[in-house]
Amino acid sequence: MSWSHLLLYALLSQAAAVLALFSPYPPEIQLWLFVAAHLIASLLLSALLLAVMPHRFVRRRSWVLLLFFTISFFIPVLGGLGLVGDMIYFRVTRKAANRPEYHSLKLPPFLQEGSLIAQGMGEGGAWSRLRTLDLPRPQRLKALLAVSAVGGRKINQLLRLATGDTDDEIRLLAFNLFDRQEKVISQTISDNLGKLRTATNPLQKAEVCRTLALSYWEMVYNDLAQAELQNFFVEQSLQYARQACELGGEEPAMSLLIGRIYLRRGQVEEAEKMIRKALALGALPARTLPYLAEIAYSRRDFQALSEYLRQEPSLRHKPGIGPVAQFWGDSSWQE
Amino acid sequence: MARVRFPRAAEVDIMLLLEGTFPFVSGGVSSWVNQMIRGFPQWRFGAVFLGSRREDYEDFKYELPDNLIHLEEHYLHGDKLKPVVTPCRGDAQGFEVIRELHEWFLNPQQGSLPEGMKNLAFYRDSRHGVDFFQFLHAERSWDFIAEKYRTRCTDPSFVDYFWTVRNMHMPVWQLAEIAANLIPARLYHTVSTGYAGFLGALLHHATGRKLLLSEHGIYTKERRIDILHNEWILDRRNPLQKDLTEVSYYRELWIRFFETLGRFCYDAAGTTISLFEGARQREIADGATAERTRVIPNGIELSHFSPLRRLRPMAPPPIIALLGRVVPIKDVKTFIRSLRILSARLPEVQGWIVGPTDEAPHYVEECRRLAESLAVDDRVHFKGFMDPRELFPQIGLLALTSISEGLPLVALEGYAAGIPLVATDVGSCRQLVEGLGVEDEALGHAGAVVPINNPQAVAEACLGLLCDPGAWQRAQAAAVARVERFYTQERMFTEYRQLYEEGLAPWQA
Repeated sequence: MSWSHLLLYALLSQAAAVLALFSPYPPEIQLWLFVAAHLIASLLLSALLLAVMPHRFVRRRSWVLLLFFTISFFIPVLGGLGLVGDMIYFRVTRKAANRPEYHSLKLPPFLQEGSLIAQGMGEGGAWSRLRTLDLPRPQRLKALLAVSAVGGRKINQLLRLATGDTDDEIRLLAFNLFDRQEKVISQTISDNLGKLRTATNPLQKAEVCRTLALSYWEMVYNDLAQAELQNFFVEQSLQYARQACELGGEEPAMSLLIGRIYLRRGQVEEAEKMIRKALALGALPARTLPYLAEIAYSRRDFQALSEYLRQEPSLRHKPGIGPVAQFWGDSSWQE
Repeated sequence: MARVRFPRAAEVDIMLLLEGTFPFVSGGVSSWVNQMIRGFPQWRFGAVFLGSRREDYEDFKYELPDNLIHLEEHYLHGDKLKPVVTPCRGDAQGFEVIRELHEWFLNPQQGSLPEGMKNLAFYRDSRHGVDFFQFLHAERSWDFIAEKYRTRCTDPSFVDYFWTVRNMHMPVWQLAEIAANLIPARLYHTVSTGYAGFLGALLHHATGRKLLLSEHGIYTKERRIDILHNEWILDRRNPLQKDLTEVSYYRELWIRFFETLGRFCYDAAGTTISLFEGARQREIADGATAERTRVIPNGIELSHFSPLRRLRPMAPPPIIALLGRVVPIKDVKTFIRSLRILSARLPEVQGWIVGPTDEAPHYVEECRRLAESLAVDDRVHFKGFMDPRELFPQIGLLALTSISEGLPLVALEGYAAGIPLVATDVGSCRQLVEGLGVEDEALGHAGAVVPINNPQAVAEACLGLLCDPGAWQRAQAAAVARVERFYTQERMFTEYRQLYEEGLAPWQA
């Protein structure tokens, strides 16, 4: 039963009590009818007022109810009307005090900083800013921060350039960004060297060796080491790749890696053999053909190079090699 | 070393203000502090040690000098007793001063530091400024923080902003309390800006006594680098709010806070001393007044090390030592990588890493793992702390592969013991190796300077010296001559004595 229904009954009871006094019944009956109806009205009004009052005003509810009832019962009609007035007041003010939901708040003004469109910065922009020594430091730092979020070998070259900067802050930031990348791979290598010591099963060992081979290569590929240290990583990668093949059998990823290492060392014949083996073992043509094309180029065999790149149409759309595949894939270069 | 009692006195001549150094932490700055106190026995020294939390430090790393007659320790990030919360509006004038200060740091070229901030009462007396209670609980404090958040903060979380601001500024009131309760001194000397520098500035303004600032590293720069690389600083911007070229707002906030402390200290320091010209220029760029800056290089007691030259073998042993704390700033990893390269060409080479390993255990672990991954764990030895005088006769070269340095004392000590140096081109290392000025440069190279993060260059420089006795002898001769002529303790003490005497002179109104 809703609050408004109860209020209606209360008012009807109060009206009935008043009408009872003007009824044609004997006075004692009138009195009993009045008391009964007035009692019902008083109880309902007291309970309704208590219900609409804010909780913080009502500590001892039963006493408050008794107070309202007493007012309503012993001050006939006027007491009841007073309670109704209070009820209306609390209903109205409580409704107003309801907490507005967030959607009803006005939008805050745009902050000056927030209204600016973020200016991205590509690799080229970062290079040019870092190389411009007379640019203010904040701008050059921004360039460094922009590229640090990207990662990759080109970025590492840029970070290396920045570690030689004349500005201390640029230098230290670049160093830290560089170190952060190297740390992740070093951690993997270290963890796997530990696993290799405890592994007993040849297949387990093969798996660890594969990870080690790829991790050492990752150091080289990401340009995280230079000169002799890079050569060391290459040797380590080759050693573990071979070990992985010995322990776990030939497989395309390791064959391709060994082929790439040979290619890097200028051992073209061995490289071709390993890359073809990888292809035969199921390596994706899109991954292997570019290296065969590179070998063909080093031999100045442009016809073979062109054929390799035409064999895999998806190469034309790959970043990096795409334009190369498009150029050599057309016959226009022969003209 | 056993923990000894803290000496206490009613007053001192010179009060040193030290942040995270002597006597709880060993290292170049701490050794220098120890050297300075012992070098001036005629004056009574006091020291205030400021640290992060008590549990971050062990026992004293140094025997306290006899003339250090007062020492107190304070920790800025431990559990602090907070005042009981009661409603409080806050002092309107006090918050106006804070507003002015904010404006001043946003536009430091305009006007000067608000005078109100220089008064200790501002931080301690609710009727004359903003005391700790008001900072924590006053309505105006809340309003101020909320207003700054709305107008300046680019991070979406107000909760993070509120607590960052609160935690960041809390030490300021703690330092004011320390300043108010510190025993009298005739001269204050801080060895960095930062919290110690801020304390020094407060003491200078409160007492009228002079403040000296000696910066070994540039505190503001180092904090800036730390902050840029700390993982704990929040960044709640989502991908749409983030500009990859922007530093997170909280990082900016921390950086600005330390810049503020730095400026406050530079403003108060009567003389700002740096170890080399590059550092002096950096201080000027960070807010120091050029006329009040000067360079005083470190110096050492030659007699402690020169006898060690006679104990050396004729040919330099193929042992290269990196002497210093094993922490990221020393870039021990580059040293380890260089040993990988060296070992291929000099099979008997060894690398000794000599220094405490308790400051950054995770980094020590990373270094050990790196040595293992490079297959040089059999030739890289972590020796822990060693007395340099025991170490020097056993090694052929000193290497410093740091990414940041001031003027490293170990290099000078090595020179005095007749050991050439291979160092990265940071701080004053180039000046130490190649000399500065015609007379100094004429002495020749005392080793080699290499770029940072370049193991190949380190390895080649070490090979060049270890495999060529003539080159090594020439480098040794230059090292000895350079340290004897330009980096003696007497020279350093003469300059500081003059500064101390000026500072200790009765105050002239």
